[in-house]
Amino acid sequence: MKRYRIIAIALLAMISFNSCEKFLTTESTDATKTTTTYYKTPSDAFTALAGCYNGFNLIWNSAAIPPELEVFSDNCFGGTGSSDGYGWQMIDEFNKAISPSDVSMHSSAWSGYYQAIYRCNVLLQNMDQVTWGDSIALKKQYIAEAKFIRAFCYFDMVRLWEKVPLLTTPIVTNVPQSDPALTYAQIMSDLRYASDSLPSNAYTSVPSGRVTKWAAESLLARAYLFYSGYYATATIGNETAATALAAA
Amino acid sequence: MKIKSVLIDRKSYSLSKLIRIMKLTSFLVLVTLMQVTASVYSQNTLLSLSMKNSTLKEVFREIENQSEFTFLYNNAKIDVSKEIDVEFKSTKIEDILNQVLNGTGIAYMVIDKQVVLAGKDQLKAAVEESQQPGRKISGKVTDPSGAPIPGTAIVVKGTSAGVTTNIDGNFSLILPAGAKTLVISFIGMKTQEITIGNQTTVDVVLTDETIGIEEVVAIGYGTVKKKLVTGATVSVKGDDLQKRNTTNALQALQGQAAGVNVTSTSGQPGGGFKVSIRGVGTIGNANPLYVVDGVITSDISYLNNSDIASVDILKDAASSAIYGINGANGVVLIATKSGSSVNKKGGQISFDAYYGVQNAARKTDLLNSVEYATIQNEAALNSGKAPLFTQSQINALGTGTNWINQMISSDVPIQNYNLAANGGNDVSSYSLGLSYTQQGGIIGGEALSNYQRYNFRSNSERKLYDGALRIGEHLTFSFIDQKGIADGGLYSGNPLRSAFGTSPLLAMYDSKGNYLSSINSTVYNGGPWNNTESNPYALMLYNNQNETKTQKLIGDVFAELQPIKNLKIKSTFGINYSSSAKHSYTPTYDKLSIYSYNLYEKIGQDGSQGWTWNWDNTINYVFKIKSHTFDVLAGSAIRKYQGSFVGGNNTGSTLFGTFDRGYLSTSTVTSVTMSSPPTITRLAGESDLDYYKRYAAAAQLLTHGISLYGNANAVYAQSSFFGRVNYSYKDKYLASAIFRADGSTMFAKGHQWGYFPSLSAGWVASNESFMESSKNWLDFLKVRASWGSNGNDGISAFNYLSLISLSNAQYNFGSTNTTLTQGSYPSTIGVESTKWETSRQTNIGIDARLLNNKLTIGIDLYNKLTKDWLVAAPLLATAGVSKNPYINGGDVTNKGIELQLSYNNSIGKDFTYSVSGSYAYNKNEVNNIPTSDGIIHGGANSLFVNGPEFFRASSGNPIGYFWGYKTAGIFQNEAEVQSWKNNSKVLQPTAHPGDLKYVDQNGDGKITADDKTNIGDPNPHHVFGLRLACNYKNFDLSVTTNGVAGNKIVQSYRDPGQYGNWTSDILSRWHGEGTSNTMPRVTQDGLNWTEFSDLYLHDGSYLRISNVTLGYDFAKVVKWKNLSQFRLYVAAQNLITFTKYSGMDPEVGASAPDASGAYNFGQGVDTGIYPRPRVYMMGVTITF
Repeated sequence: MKRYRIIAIALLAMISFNSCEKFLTTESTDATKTTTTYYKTPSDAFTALAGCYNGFNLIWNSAAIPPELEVFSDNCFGGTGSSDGYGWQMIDEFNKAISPSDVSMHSSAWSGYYQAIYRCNVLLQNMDQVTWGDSIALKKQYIAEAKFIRAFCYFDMVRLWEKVPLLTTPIVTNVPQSDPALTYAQIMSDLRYASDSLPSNAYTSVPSGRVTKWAAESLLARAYLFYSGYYATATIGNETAATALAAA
Repeated sequence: MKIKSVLIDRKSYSLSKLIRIMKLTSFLVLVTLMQVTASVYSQNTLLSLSMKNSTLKEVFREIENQSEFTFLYNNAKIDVSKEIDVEFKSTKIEDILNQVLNGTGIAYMVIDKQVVLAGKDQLKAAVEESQQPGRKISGKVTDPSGAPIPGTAIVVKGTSAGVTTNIDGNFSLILPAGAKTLVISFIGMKTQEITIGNQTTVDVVLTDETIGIEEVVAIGYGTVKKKLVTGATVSVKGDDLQKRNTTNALQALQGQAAGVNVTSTSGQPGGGFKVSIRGVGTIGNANPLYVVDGVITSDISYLNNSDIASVDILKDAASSAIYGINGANGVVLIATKSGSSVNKKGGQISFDAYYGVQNAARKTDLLNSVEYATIQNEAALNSGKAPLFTQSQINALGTGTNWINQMISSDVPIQNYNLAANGGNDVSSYSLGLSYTQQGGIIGGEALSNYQRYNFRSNSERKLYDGALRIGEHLTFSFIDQKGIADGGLYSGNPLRSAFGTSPLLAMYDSKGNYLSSINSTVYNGGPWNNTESNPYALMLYNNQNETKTQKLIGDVFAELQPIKNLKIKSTFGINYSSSAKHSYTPTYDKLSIYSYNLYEKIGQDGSQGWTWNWDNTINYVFKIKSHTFDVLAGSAIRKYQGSFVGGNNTGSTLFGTFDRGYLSTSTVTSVTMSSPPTITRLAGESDLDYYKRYAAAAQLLTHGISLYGNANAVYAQSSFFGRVNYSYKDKYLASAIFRADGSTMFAKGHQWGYFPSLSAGWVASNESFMESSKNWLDFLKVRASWGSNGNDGISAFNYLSLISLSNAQYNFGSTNTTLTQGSYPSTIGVESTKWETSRQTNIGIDARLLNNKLTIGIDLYNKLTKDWLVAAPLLATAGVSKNPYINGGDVTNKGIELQLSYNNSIGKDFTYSVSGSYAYNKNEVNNIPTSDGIIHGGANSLFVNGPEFFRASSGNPIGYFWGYKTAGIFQNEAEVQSWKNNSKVLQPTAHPGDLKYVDQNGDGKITADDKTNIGDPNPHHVFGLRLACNYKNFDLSVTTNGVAGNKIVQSYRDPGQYGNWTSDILSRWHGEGTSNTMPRVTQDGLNWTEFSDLYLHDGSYLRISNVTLGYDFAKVVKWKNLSQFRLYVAAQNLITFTKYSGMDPEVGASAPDASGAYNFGQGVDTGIYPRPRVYMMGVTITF
């Protein structure tokens, strides 16, 4: 019947208008890169490395370890302005009753450290995705710098909280606290890699702030001294006093 | 009054023409009145005819030509096409007719010069009837204003005897024997029945059919008669909204519709509104979907109220299921005015204008200098220190500065002008509107806080090819020019909060008339009292110089084909385009305090543009099988959004130094070139390539002070298919089924499509035969039930991808601290499996009309479950991202009851009145949250600076409930402190008399965070509104009220322990035994205020008289032909607010962010909100 034919034709026309699969795909027009489309060129890798360095801005944002170490010791008193809270007084005197409403003073530092570590882990994971071409030497250098940053963060954390979850790849689910021996072993191996891989340049010859071989060596020695002193153990991972303390 | 002349052609009233059109029997009665029977003329007239093969009609025509006879017959009933031959010479008319009509079954009657033809039986009956003697009755039919109604049918009930009124509304008829009742009827007016006693005259006043039995409501892609609706919908007429004279249509909607809770988020002109339909269903975006003439938009503030013809709100899932993935929070359908609703021939032109002045309705009472100094002294003493002021110092202080008065301007104007033209005929209609609205802000005045809106609207429609094709368009263009001050929150520079925090000891001006810097104040011991506080008025002036200009174009073009009757194929293309440009300027200013100064001028510009287009196609077919009516709709729709933004800031000196010339190019430095890098020493053994790469990396410099940004917004696309079947059996049994499938680009492939079905049914009990007996008091009763599901896809784009971000990721390499190297980092973790939120709702309702359609009642009960919440679930810190991805999980239930009533009546001829009210009760409860601790935490740092978390969402409690300590009064003395124990442990051993008693909620003998509990609900439990309107002769008066009850507000005007000011509530503080059991003692560290407890909570219930309007229509006095309305009115808005809340405005829609910053579900938080002003205005409405 003519009536139903008209209806059928109209229905068909309508359905064909928006059956295109492509209509609901929008990835090609977005303005941000994703982890699968990024990490292609060496300059991507360098920008990501700068992002890892930017992690230092995160960890020193709130209750940062440099002033805290001063306050924990008897070098300084802890205090802030007349309208601020009493958190610093609290950690100076190790007395929670001074500032009862400060229940989580280090929470932003805790997430800051893990954000910095996450950036390093993701970069390290994607290093092979990059087409290095002639700049293959940069790959080793960038890996070294990222490992240094990661080790630096873990060293701070293990001194603040001792038993911290140890992650060397990005993990979303819960990771249990790890034995400080394992954490220090990881710190040592990262720093050893850094000191072996970075070129032997004076710190004045690179832009200030970039990691050098000698920075890695000194941090390694310092970590060794702290661990061997506090835990009274002479060997951490592959390092002994001789390997850790000597200038190679 | 609509005068549809069906029976009478007004052009001529000559008797013959009148007779031609009237009913046969009516004519005969008329004739009988004239007591005319066969007369002399027919006996004497002789006719001669000679025609071959002519129709009867032609024969009659020839007789008419030859003589003075005229023929009267019903063309439809009498067949005059029979062909005959006639041959007559000098014959009488009767003889001719006898012969000609032989065998045709047509009988005739000759009355004077009229020849009446009819069926034999009909004629006989008519003659019999007309010959009965009867009493004559006459009268007049008018409308309530006294104007006559010609063409009204007056029929004797039970017979076919009747007449119609003439042009003066007069009628006269002979009553047949036994006649008891006259039925008087006219289209569009209420039929009346009048019992005939012994009177000979009867005057009738007919009134308009006020209740729309035939009223239609919009239901999404179509309309349906109101009596057949099976879902829960509520309609508000555009004229009702326009009469409220508000700048934003949502404000006019407050209290009008049961179940729709409208709260303003800020009283600033152009301020937004939060709308929740049937409770808050999610922690994300809980605003409903707005559809204006078929175009989806998220913001309707661009509309002028006069452009709106009607608003239909779809509340239950069955009604909003037709909008599928966007309908979970309810749907608001808005139709702009079209010309087809105007019946007046030649169209209608209307002009509406009002002008008003605004003032603050209530001002917060802050302490004056003497009170402030006294409290400061007491705080010092209570903290073990010496008092800060001596008595003689206090005496010398005077009253100090009232900062609230300084910040608030008075008599700020608000005005609106609207010119509209509407009209049309059978084939086309048009509606044009031009309007201008301006509203200044009471805080800051027009210079800093102002809203201007220019609107142009053009709607038109045309029918082509005899109605087979209908094309049309709606187009609204808006230009909005807005200046605003920072509003709400703690850190935005909220000027009102700054006023609360500044002591009254700071004077406004110095001796030279400049704003006094607190450093130079000499009020306290010859120096400043507090050199960290700044003049809040000066700060507001310097930091809020900005202007945003927005252009919006929203409209659609459509074509509807009707190839066969009742089949409509419609295609609509709509666009929603918006672009905006903002510029801001901050001048340099000298120190207002030791922290507050600006060394460098700053200019900023922001621009954005974006548009959404949509293409909807539908087929609609209505057909009947016996008494079963089916209305079938099938359709598809696609929609796509794209846009981009750009902006820049330039800090440094400018050429002109003013806001008006404050654009990026007027800075003295507008371009930065890459400068040469510091010396890069070549490293030993470094290759050329490596060296140049290091050189290039160091050469990328960004000059301090300039920032640029810009991006394309994520493209959003949606594709949908939907179908609906509406079934009705004799308008008694109703059913409806809807199915919709939506795909959205918000979700990853494989999770994009959602399916949303719904079912509803209704039973019109009043149409049943067993309800006949109640017809005299119950006009209409319908019972309906529905179940349905909708979705919500309101998350940020690309949730399923792990995105790389470049923002705030720079690092400082190099020896100067002005060189920054750009960094990048993975900022999100993609979750593939995220899908839409689902809302499922069950609804049962009753609609009834009683007492001759005077009383209308609507009752609804609903249960709404929103599942699979889109929750930015906090990841563990070890996961390493700061931005939480959206996952599904968690659900909330909203249960409630809604009641909508209206009553219209009149007393006597001149006075009509109507009362309408709405009431809704809603209970909100979260069932389940998918985070590891089952809680979504509210943000810290939003109650006051460094403040604790004070609201959250968790199972068994309403969304955003206030979480804090319960208090049990105040310790009056030391003995009470020691005896406040649990498990024989003193709970607050360090407390002093005058401190708050906290309740040990978990009974463990300690006061810790575990004792914090649900202490209040920011969601109102009861939302209601009442409207009274009455008309007396030419006067009209209306009063509109709205209110809420059952909610709590958190008021936090002050950071504890500071030198800020207090409200006068503090004067009732504890200062000795027995002086107070509610307000604790003051101390310098503000100890009693640093924890969040019910001390901060206030009852947020209020009843507001939102509009009182009194008008007089001069048109009826002037009585000029073309003027149908000339109404002058005066109105008051926000006249009185009855509330216990001590803040400036109990309508606190502002919200606070949650701990992750992803949502703003903390409601009812007053940290210094911009209040709603009180307006007195007068206006005029002129309609031609």
